[in-house]
Amino acid sequence: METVLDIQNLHKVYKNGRGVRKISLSVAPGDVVGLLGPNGSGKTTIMKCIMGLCHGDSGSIRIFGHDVETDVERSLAKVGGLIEQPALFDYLSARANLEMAARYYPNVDAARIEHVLRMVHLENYQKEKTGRFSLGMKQRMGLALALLSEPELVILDEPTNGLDIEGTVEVREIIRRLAAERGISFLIASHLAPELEKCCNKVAIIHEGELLAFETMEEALRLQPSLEDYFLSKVKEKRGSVLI
Amino acid sequence: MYLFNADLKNQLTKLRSRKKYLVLLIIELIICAVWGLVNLALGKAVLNIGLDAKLVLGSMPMSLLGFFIQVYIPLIIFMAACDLFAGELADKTVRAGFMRPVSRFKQYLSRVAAVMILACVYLLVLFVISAAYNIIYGHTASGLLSAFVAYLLDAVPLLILILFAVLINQIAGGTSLSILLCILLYLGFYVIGVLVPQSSGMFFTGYAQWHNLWIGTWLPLRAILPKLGILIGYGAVFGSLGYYLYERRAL
Repeated sequence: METVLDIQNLHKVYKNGRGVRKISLSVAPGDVVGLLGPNGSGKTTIMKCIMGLCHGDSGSIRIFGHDVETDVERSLAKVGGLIEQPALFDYLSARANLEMAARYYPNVDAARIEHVLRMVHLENYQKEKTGRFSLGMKQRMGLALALLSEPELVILDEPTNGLDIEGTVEVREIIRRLAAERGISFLIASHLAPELEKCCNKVAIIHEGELLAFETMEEALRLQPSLEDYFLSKVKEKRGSVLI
Repeated sequence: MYLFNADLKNQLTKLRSRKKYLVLLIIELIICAVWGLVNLALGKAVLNIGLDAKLVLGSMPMSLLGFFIQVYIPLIIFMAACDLFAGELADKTVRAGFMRPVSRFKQYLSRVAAVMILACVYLLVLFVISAAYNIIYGHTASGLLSAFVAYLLDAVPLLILILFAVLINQIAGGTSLSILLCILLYLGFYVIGVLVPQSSGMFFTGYAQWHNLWIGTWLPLRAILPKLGILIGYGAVFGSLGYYLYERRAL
């Protein structure tokens, strides 16, 4: 089976010493992989490198077999993403923002735009300028933009940021449904273990730029009562090994 | 090509959505109208002393071109480049393109092309209005073809100016600083060119009205080629440096 995303020895260190070191992980079709780590652990850096927003110092990232550094058009053709805040043009309406994104994909038409607007419950606000949107609405727009092209891999960085309880549950349901029904793969970064525990089938633990574990959710929950405990045990293991 | 066209349409959509460019176009129309009326009044005045009004109104497209190509359109170019480069880099909306399956080279080209198209729209409107004045009030269409060629030729140095503005936007970072640097540097080069006429050929700002090299008195090719080389050289340096910084930009 073709690997959707293959990261090999990704190394990216910023001038302040933060970043990620020798990260390797892969995502198979239909996988929902959670990237769990505290703030500043390097989750967003990995996602930015995947989406071509920054360049790694070394290592490689291949999406559907295409290298992100050398072939961005083919590698991102079937990828949707939401990294940090959604990139919205405040002076344009929600619909205009989606129409602009749709131009890059020949298969995305007006019906698809309507569909994603309904999916994120923004169909009644489509003519409103996004500058007037609340944080939650902007996040929904970000999700709509990520899912617009019917991608086969979706990269989401803290997707429930700014959403209320209902919104959070809805996003989780959308992820589960798309993964189960359409085999779409997800890579979701979050610092909230319970959130990832509920929708992911694999988890990668990132701490201070290092990958401490990459395990199926089933195995992680077999070893520890919760994902939170699993994360803490891995961090403890690392600190213990450093002390020894 | 499909992706380039898609990105170009997006850049044009963004520029069209900003009302200031429409307002500036209306201001251009007003300046043209006032200029025309002044010319008309002058025409009538000289008629009284026995001169042909065609002589006064016949030069309107060319007399307007000088002001707009050196002052008005450069300001529009600086603003548009700032909106599409420094502005989007500052508020990170440039990610909307970076995260799509289109190479940064195509994005860079489409943004430059969008600013160029905007500048050409301003030039075209200017030509149409001044030509209309010529025909309606001056009752003459003579010289319009050579004026049109002059407008076309003067669009070339505008491309170099756009590449210069884009490069400054990449270096400066902030929107206010970018536009300020663009204006100050442009003004600086221009003033040096005026104060030291021998040096004006060395700066790209000295080629704003380079139609003078091509139409009217024909210069030998030997005299034109070095100037063409300087302009191409500026374009190559500004373009490649600007693209390099755009390509390496991390967000």
